[in-house]
Amino acid sequence: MPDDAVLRTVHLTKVYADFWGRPRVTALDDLSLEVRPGEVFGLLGPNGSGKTTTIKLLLGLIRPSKGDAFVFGRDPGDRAVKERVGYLPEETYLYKFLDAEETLRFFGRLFSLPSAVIAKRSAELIELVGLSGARKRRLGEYSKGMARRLGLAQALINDPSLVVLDEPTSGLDPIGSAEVKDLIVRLKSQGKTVLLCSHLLADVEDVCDRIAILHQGVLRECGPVGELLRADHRVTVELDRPSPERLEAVKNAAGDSLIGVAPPRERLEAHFRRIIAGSRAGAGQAAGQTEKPSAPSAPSQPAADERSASP
Amino acid sequence: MNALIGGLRAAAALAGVTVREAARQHLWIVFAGVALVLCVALGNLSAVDPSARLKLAVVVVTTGLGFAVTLLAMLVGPSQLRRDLDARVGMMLFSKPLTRLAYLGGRWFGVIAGLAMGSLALAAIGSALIAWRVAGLPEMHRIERASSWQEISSLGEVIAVKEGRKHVVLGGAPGNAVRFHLERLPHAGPEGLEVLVRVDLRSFDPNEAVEYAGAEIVASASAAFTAPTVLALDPASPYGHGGGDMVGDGGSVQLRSRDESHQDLSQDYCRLRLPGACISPSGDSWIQVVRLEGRAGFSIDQTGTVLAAVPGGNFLVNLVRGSCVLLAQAGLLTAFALLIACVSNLGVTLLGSMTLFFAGNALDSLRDTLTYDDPKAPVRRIMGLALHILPDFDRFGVAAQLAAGQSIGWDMVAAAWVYYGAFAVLFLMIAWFTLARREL
Repeated sequence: MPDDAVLRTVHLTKVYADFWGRPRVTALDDLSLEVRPGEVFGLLGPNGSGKTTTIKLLLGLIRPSKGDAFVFGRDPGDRAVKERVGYLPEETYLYKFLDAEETLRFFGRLFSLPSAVIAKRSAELIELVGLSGARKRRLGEYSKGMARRLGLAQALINDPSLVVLDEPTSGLDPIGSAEVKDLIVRLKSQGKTVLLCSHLLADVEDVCDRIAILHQGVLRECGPVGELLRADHRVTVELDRPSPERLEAVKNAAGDSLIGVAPPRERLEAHFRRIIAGSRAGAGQAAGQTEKPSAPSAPSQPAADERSASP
Repeated sequence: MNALIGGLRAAAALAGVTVREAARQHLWIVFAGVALVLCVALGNLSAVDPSARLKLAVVVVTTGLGFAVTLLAMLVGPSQLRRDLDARVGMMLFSKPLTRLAYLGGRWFGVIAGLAMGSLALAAIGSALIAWRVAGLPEMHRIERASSWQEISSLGEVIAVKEGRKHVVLGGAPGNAVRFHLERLPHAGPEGLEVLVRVDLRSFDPNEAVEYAGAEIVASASAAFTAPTVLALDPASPYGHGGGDMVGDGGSVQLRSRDESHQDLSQDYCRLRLPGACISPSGDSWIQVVRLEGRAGFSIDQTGTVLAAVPGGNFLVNLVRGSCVLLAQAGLLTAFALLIACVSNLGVTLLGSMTLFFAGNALDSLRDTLTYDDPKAPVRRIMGLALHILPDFDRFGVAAQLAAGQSIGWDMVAAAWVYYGAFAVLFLMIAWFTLARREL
């Protein structure tokens, strides 16, 4: 079918059956949506809402009971499709007996990438996810967060056009979470399409262009984040260091329509990141700046939370 | 084409990970343990003579090798497959361009590659241990058997042996013989080749067992059997010079009664020298066994009575080729175990694989039961069916052949891979079908 959508589902339904083929549970019911190129699309919903089932269907890991799924206009099980997709599952399922380099080399070879390309990308990705100091350690010795970072690296080893991230910030500390969000923004800026699946609403709100909300396997709402969250009947007025007189004048001008007046609060995540960044800078100066920190350096683009906090 | 190459590359990547995982989980310790047991066992072997001790040592080493290979074949692949399915690593793997067939192929090939490395090392260690603890390695020979035969009467008449007949019994007046035609013999120079002769003696007097009987072994390079040469006894022959009060003289040899169950090339055969002049440029030779005494008959079979023994390389090389035969068996077991692991847990997989292995080793007993006992019809049918569908793990007697000093050729390795490989392919295809239907 002629299709410029990266992902398209048409009346997609998945019913899990028991051993005898009798329907047991409907995990996804009549889902029709599409994700366009270069878009960061959020799939939201509580546990058991059908998010992971949708992803599995889109990756060809399970077969639909009804309806169709198309990735780049083709069947999700198609080899050519899989070569263009990067996937980070909800839990990081990696081989614990391999180290980071071996893991990325293994996944690179699954994509039939040349050795030189694998070596180059592995080095870049290990640096990107902040595992340079642990590249030779076996994954069995990794913390959950480190394994998650490596999982993210393997999802990018083939330089995918579509990145499917299932709960990418699960198990990460706030700094790691923020870095993942920065990475998603960077992927978008590179023209890649991202399907982000999460129940951490703040994460999704920060980075997604459009979202779909699933509940009990049914699509409840789908649209651009800005439109869905816009409250047309309300207006926010921000003043920079207002004098008491001016504040009073604004209150008077607003009259009965005024709901409340309070100083704006910094978001906890931004506050946390600022404290840690300051602490790192101090530690770096104390050590004569001789050692490079293991975490990746701040990205050149503005951080996701900073962007979203700006008016 | 690209998909095929991509699939092969992905399978190779998975095979590499399979070997690496087995190594890092210290599964090589099975080979090390077997080597240790061999070291102790070979030093404590007791047998009636050095030759029997050497034979026993070869059986012990080959059995140890077979044990390690069989055990790991049933264990490595299935445990990794189950882990991939149960711990959801499969979700990660199959979201990549890795087909289920390439996955199974990669796992299977990885197991076989790992076992090949381990068995190569164990074969080298086993050979070294035999040389060290038993003092010496067995001499190996490749056997050339007769392609055709003729019966010769006491008067020199040539009598064609009826087609399909496997045995001829020479009786009556002495002087009758059987002439064998051996083809494609190598050109061994003037010193020639070794010829091995074994005859089952039949006494005409039911009250007297015949242990030895005189015979003359002659050979010629022409079919007309002109100017035949009497073959000289090899000084290293285990018998032939005489037995009891019977001493061979002139060109005669004293043959000891040896039936078909006696296969040891160094112990059961009378060894003679076939001069190079008795082999034609095209590699043909005609060898005649002449009966010299009337008190015993000769029971002669076409493929076992006269053999040309060509040097068959050193023991280690033959043991490595024997390992390749054992690897073919391991390939079958691995494929079967992967199939079971696709549908059930590791315990059931091990149980199923062991059942197949032991059943496949018991086919001879099954045949004996069908031949000599009289089971009821339904049991007979089931046993008959089992004989048809079960792989015969005793089909290529590697241990017995090596112990008998018979070399193992690449033709036997190829035959083993064709036979067991066919089963392995079948099991892998069923496993693929099963895994492809499995949702992750």
